[in-house]
Amino acid sequence: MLKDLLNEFVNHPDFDVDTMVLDNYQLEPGLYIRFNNYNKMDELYVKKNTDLPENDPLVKWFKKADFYSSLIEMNKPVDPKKKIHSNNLFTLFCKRDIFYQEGKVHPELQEHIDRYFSALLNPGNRETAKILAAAHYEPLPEESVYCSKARFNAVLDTVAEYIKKEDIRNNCYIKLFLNAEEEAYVYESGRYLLPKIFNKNTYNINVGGRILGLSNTDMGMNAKKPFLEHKTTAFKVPYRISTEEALLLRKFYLWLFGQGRGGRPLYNGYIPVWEHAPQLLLVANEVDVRKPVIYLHFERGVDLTIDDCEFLPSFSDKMSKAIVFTNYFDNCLDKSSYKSGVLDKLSAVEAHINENLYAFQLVSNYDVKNIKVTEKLSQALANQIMLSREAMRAWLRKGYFLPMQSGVDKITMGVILARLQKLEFIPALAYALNVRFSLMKYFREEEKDMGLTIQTAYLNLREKVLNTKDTASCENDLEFYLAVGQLLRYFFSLSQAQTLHYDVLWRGITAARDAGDIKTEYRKYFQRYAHEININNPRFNNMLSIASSYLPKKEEPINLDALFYGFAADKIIYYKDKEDDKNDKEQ
Amino acid sequence: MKSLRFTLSGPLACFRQPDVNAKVYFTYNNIHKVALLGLLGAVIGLSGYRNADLYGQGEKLYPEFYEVLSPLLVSVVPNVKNGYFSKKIQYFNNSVGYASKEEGGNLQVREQWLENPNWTVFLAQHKLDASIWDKLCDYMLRGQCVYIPYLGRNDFPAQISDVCLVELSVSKSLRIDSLFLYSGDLNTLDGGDPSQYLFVETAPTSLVPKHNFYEFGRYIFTNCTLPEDELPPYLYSDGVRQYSFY
Repeated sequence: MLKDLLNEFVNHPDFDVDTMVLDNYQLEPGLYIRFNNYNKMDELYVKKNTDLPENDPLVKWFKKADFYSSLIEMNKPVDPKKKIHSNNLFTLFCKRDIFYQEGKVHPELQEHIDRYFSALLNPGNRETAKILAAAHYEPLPEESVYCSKARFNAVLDTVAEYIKKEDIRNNCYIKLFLNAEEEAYVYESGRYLLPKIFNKNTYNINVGGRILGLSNTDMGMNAKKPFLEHKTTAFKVPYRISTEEALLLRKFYLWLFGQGRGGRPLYNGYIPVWEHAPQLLLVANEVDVRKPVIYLHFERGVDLTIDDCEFLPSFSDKMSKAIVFTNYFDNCLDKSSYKSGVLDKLSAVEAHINENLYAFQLVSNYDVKNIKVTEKLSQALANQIMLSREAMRAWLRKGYFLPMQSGVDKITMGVILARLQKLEFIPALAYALNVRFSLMKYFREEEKDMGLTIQTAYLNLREKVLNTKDTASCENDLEFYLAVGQLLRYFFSLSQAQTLHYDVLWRGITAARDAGDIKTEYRKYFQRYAHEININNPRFNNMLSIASSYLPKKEEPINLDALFYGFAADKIIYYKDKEDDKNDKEQ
Repeated sequence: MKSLRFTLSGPLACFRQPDVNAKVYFTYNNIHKVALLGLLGAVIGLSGYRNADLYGQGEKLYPEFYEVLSPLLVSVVPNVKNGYFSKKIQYFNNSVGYASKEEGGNLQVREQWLENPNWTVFLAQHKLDASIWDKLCDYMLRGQCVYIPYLGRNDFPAQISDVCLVELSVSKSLRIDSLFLYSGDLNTLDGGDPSQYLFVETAPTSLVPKHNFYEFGRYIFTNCTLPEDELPPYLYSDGVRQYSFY
C-alpha cells in the first residue's frame, strides 16, 4: 500500500515533495518571532481562526522554518524532558506557560534552555552517531551552539514584554527563530530527523552498506502487544525501510494531513494512478472520467492513520447506467417536495439516498464505531445503518455494486421499518418508499416495477371507493393492503391525542405474521374510533368492505410495500378532485 | 512447454501487507509469488519460516520452501472482473489472553479480507530440480498434501481444483492476460477503449537472503497493450490467452 502511494507522491513532474507538503502546511496557533540581525524582529501572532495571507513572504518563511524545525512526535524530542519542542540550534519552541509567568520570563526557563542546547551538542547513543556519520554529518561546532544560545538568551525579556503587551493568555506555542538560510534549516533538520525517523534504532540492520530500520509510519511495536513482533521469522519486525523512504513517508503523511476542501479537512479521497494532476488527492465528484484510482480513508488524531485503502482498477463518479428516482406519489403528494429525477453521479445518488432514505444519518455515520442514539436517530435505525453501511459505501464510494444488488430489498425495507419509529412527517415515508422502489427497479431490471404496480392499484382503488354505489369488494391482495393502509391512516386522523406516536400503531403491523393478524389489528382501531365515524359515509363503507371482504391465501407473505403506500398516499376518504374544488367555489 | 495448471480459490483470504500495523492490516489483492511458493511448499511438506535457530539447525539463508521452490516460474490470472476482488475490513477480538498485556488481555484486530478470491495458476518447472517438480506435479494431480495449504491465514483453507498438465507455447503478443511485473511508465500502456482497466499493486516478488524480508515488484493486470520492447520475459500462450511467468 505505502509503496504504491509513494509512487504517486514522488513522481509528480511539476512539484517536489517539500513544495507539496508546504503548500498546505498549517501553522499551529501561537506567537512566531524571527530575530534578524541588529536586533530587529518580525512577529506573527496566529490565533485559532486566523486566515493567513497566502503569498506573504514572512508567512511562507515561517511555514518553511516551522516545518523543518518541528518534532516528528512528542515521543521523539531533543529536550529529554520534553519542555522545548524544537529540533535545531536555530529555533526555540515551547508552550506559553513554560516561557512566561506573572508578567516575566518563567524562572525555570533558563534551566530548560541549558538542557536543550546541551542535548543538541551531545546527541547521545552510538546508533545515532553511526547514522549521522553514514549521512556525512560532522558534529555540531560548540561555538555556534553557544552563539545561538546567547542570542536566544538575549531576547527572552523582549519576548516576555511582547506577550504581556499582546496579552496572550492561552497556553499556545511561543516559537522563536533565528534568521538563517533555508539550506541551513534543511541541513539541521536532517541532523534531528535521520536518527529519529525510524520507530526505534535498535531494530536497525545493515544490508549491503545501507541502514534499514523499522518504519514509523502507521507502524509501531508495543510491549503490551507482544505479537506485533514476528516471533518465528528471522526478520522479527514487519517492515524495514531506508532512511530516504522513511523521510518520504513522513512527508506523504504530513501532506495527506493537510488535505482539505473549502477550509474543511478531508477524511477520504481518490489518488488517480500515474496521472499526476496538480491536485493529487481528489474528492469523488472530481473523478469524472473512468480511471484507475487508489481509494483512501483516514482517521485524524494527533497523527494521521489510514484506515481503509483499496485499489480500484476502473472508477468514476459518473455511473455507467444512470438511476431514475421516480415520484410514485405524483398523483397525490405535492410534486415539488420530492426531488425526483435522473441522477448519474454516485456522489449525487449518495446525497439523495442519505437524505430521503436515511434522514441524513448515513454518511455521517459511515465510520462511527458505536453509533450514538439521539432524538433523531433511533436504536433501530442505528442497527440498520450498521447492517447496511458497508454495502452502501462499497457502491457509492468504491463503485462496487454487487452487495447492494443482492441486498437492496432487505436493506431498504429494513431502513423504512426502522424509520417508522421516529417518522417526523408522513411524506417522509413516501420519500423513503420512492427511494426503495427506484432502487429496486434499478438493481432488479428483470422484475416488474413494483412502485408502478402499486401506484396503478392505488388509482384503481380510488376509482372503486369513490364510484361504487353498492358495496365494493376486494379483487386482489394489493387492493387489500392498500385499503388497510388507507384505513389505518384514516383512524389515525381521527385520534384526539396531542402528539401521535406512530410506533404504537405500527408495532402491531410490523409484528403481524399474516394477513389475518393485519385484519385483527385494523379492527382494533376500528373499534376504538367507531364512535367518530358516520354510518352513512359511503367512501369509508366501501373501503371497509374492501378490506373485510378479502380472503387471504394460505401462507401469503404480507405486502408491506402496498400497506405503506396506502398509508402514505392521499386519504381517499377525504378525497377532493379538481371538479369538486370547482363546484365548491361555484357554490 | 509443459505447465501445471490449477484453480486456487476459497471463500476468504488475507495476504497481509507488512507496511502498516497501527490500525488495520491490509491484504494484497492477489496471491504473490512468495505466498504461492509457501502454499506449494506446504503441499509437498517443506518447512516454512520457523526459526532455524529455534530448532538448532544453524543459520539458513532462506526458509526451506523458498530455497527449494524459488527456481519455479509461476503465472497467476485473477478470475474476476477488472482483476478486483471485493474486500471488507473485519473487526474481531483475540481474547486468548496472552495476545495483549493490557487490562483485560483482549487484543482488538482489524483486518481486511478478500472475498471469494479465485485464481488460475500456472507453474513452469524452469530451473527447478526434476525430482521436486515431479513430486509437486504428482501431489497436485492426485490431490495430496503434507500440510494443509491455506490462503494467508490458517483460518482460510485453500481449495485447489481442476489440476491438469497443459502444453504452452512461446508467444509474443502485446496483450497479457495474466498478472505481470512491470516497472516502466504506465502511460505507455495503450488502451483507449472505455472498458479499459488497469490494476496496479506493489507486492512481494522474492525474499532477501539471510534477513528474509520481502523484495517488491509492481504487478499489473490490464486489458491494455504493452509496447513491444517493454514486454516481460517468459511469455507463453495456450492458443487463446497469453500468460506472463515470473
